[in-house]
Amino acid sequence: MRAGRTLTSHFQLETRQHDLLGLDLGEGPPRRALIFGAVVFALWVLLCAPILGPPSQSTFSLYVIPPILLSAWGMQPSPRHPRRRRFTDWALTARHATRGHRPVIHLGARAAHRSEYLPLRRRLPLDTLTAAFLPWRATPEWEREHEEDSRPGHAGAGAGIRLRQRARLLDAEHVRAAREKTLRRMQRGGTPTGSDPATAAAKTASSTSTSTSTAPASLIRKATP
Amino acid sequence: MKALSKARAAFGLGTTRALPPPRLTAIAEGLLVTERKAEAWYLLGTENTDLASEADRDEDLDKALSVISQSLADRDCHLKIVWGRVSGDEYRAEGERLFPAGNGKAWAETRAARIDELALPQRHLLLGVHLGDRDTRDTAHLRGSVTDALGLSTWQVNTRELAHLDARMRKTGRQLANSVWRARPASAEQIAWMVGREQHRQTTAAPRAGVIAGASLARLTHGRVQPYSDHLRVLGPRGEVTSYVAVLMLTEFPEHMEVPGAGEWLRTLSEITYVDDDGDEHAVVAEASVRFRAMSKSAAIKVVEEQRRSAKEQRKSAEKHSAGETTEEIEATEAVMGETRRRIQRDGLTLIEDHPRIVVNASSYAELDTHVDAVITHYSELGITAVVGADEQRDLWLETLAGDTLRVPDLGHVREDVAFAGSWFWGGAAVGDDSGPAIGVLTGTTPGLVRNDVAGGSARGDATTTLWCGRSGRGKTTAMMWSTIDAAAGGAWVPFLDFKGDCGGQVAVAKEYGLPSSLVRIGAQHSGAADMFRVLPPQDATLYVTGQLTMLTPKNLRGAAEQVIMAATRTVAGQSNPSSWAVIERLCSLQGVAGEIGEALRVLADTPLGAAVCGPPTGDVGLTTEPGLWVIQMPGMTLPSTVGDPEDWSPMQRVSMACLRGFIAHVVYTAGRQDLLSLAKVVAIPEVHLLTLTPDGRQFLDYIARVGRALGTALLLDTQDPGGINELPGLVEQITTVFGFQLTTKAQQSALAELLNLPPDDASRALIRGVGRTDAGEVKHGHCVMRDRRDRVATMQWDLPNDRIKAQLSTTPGGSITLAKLDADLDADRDREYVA
Repeated sequence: MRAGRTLTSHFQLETRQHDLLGLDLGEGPPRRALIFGAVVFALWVLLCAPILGPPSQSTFSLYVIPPILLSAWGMQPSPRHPRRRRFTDWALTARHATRGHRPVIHLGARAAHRSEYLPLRRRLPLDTLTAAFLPWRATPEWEREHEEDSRPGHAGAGAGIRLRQRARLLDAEHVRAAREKTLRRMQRGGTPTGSDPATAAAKTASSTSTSTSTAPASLIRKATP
Repeated sequence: MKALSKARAAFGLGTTRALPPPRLTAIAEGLLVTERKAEAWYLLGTENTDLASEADRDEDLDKALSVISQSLADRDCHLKIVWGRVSGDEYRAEGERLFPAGNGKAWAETRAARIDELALPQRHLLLGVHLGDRDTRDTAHLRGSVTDALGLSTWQVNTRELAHLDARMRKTGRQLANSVWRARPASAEQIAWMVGREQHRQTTAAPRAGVIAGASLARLTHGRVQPYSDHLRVLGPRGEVTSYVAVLMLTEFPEHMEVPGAGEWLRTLSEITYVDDDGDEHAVVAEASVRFRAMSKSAAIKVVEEQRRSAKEQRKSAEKHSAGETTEEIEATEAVMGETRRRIQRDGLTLIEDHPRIVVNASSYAELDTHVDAVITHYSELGITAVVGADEQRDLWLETLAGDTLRVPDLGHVREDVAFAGSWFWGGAAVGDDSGPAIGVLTGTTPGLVRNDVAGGSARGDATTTLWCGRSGRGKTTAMMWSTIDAAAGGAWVPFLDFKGDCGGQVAVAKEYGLPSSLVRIGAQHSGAADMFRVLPPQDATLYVTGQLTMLTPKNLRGAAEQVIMAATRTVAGQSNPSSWAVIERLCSLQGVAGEIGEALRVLADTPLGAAVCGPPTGDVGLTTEPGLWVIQMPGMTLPSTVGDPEDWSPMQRVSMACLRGFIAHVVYTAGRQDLLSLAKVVAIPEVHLLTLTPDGRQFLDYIARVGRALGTALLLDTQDPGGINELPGLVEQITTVFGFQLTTKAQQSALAELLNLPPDDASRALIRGVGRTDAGEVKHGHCVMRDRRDRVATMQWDLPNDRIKAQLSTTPGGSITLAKLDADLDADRDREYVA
């Protein structure tokens, strides 16, 4: 019987800062959280300064509270992997929504076209966000499962197009009336009975120099293209 | 820049995530070259660990640790455990070589069709070793894209670089080849297969030119993979989903893991199953991809010391401030790191950093969900946390590809070498020959095909005896019959001495496949065919003839029989054309007890079976020497039971036993004829336990086995009494392969365990008692423990390819083909040729 030791937990040491600038911090906050908080604060200040101007009494809380909340929440252990922080989950989710969802085509030999990306609602965790912030609008889980099963494979053949076509059902009387009307017009214009009026008009148009046709101008225009 | 990179990595957002997929440049034997780097790829052998002793396993583990610390130190490695299918095509291709006799192609096709039907998973162990970076610049991909656009990409490795990489690959390969992994460079086709299968589509046959590049490589990487949040979808050419894939990470391990036991976390990969709604158990095809690096001694000491110092600093800092004392975790870390440092320095401990991933695929999303749950459950039973990577499936999948790099470094592990090698990724079940006829399937921890060539021993310069051992009705005789057909299809001369009379079925099978075969029934016309004087040299035969005639002597005359018969035999042996019949005539010519014995023996010699043993030597021997399967039966033969006292045998039983011995000797000596030396010979003798009942029977069997070895003749024995076999050290010495079927008595179980090279302890006895039984306690015919010529032991299931052959080979009363029915089917002319 042999026993092997996995040392991973010992390499995940969470170091704490027991003092800061001479101030005793007791048990101390995790150093990683402090560094993360400092970076977030700096970025937030850089973002806010052009908009809000220098911190004032009225804008102080706007400068301070969001980065503190973000750091405190972001440095909590991730519910997915306790070895990670929430911040990593957010970053990965954002990455999946922007780049991580793109198909790998021919092992990267060809980059995916925009039309081959997943639709936005499939990239973002909308269900999770809705359940968290708008619970009354959340899709029930059983509906989501149904949607999961029924979603088709993404062939990457381009975005869907909407066809604005409508079929009309014409009865025999309507067709007969149209035929008689056209026949009368042809007889008036001298076109041989039974031939296609458009073809006849085209023939007429192509021989305008020699013919004395009196075909209506509308028919000639229609046939020209 | 470096600090930013480290900070990103600490939060799990390392820069490697953004790297493009690997651009493959070339594949050659043992080499995979990408735009950025070159890797050597080796195929690792499977070590049979299922029934290996703990001492053997410890020894192998130590060898593996040595390889890791010596040959792989400070090198980025990539271990892949992938599954393929055992295809019948390979067997079809081998058909003509394996089975040149009769319609060997059809015989191979029958088995190949069965292999296809079984669809057995086949495990492939591949180890990639980083050889060197080709282009470390971050702009490599951009540069490649620009040259592509301008049409300047060459997509080839120049010959000098290829030669350099090949030399480096072979150097590492030599070190690994002598290791416990028996590594050999993966062929270009195998690497191409590995690359192509990642696209999860029908892989086209890879070119066999040795180096795969350019358009061929483009074809291999042709495919489309769509990442979703928790899985990936592999799309076919028409946009349909062909496979659903999920990559799981093993994020938490117990600190201490024991081997054998829960520490074998990679070997158990093939044991993951799930139960469907009908209660049926199905295997989950789970693959593993582990990127690891064995730290050199200095690197390991550095990281351990850093960690120890950090813990120490925390302790001291806490003491200085109001916190007072630090947490128990930090104190434990300081102590463990200190101890680890000592062990690295003094005991040669090696630390491994690894990143294990499990890849699961399925044909539907629901099925994938089931498979993922099964993997998570399996690992949770070992105390290991397996989780599906969320929103990073693309990175995890790319990371599993050969030629790629570590993309998700923050959830890796650092562990001692035993904790990594103890995963026994190269362990499993393996038994049988590398080539030869397929006989069944492995039933151990890793599935696979079992091959065994009973006639191949002499060609290897090895002993030639194969033993089937177990209680009645477990399928051992059927298994032996199958092996004799395989041998006959291989072009061997195969006499099968069927004294029990229930083994005619293999002749019907052989005839269907055009193999020369016949069923011969010994009668009065074969007088003297089993006479020892006719078989053995006179000086060797004297003792055996005495034994035969003494055994035939009635019980009331046996007291003085041995001495009298011996004297008469010695006299006859000195004459020209000696025979047992001449001994009887000499006894009859004497007065007193000798005359009475002679008369008693003459009466027995008048019976058809008695005539074969000691009748006038005028009859036909009844056996051809042409290649084929020749089954010899003796109608009316009544063999004694294994439990009866030989002293109490009836005249019929005595004659039957003498006849059996005589024919065995005859067959083996015929096999040893000089004019037949170039012919492969396989002699099959069922029910050998009847011979081991008597001292002279044991002596006789021992002698025959030794002679058979010297003549290069394979001997196939079937017995219900392993204890009797163990008493014949000369015979045991010649046994290379043993098939152990179920036995119920403790003594016989221990004897079989000894023959199987297993320790005769409770565990081995329990194994032998349980083999050949289903979970419900029903008989599982053909299930046995096999010990092969390399002393590997594993459980296997004999597999007959179809129901027709099963029915033909059945020895169950009512299920077997009776002699009368068989006669109608057999070629009558051929029978007459041998019987007349």
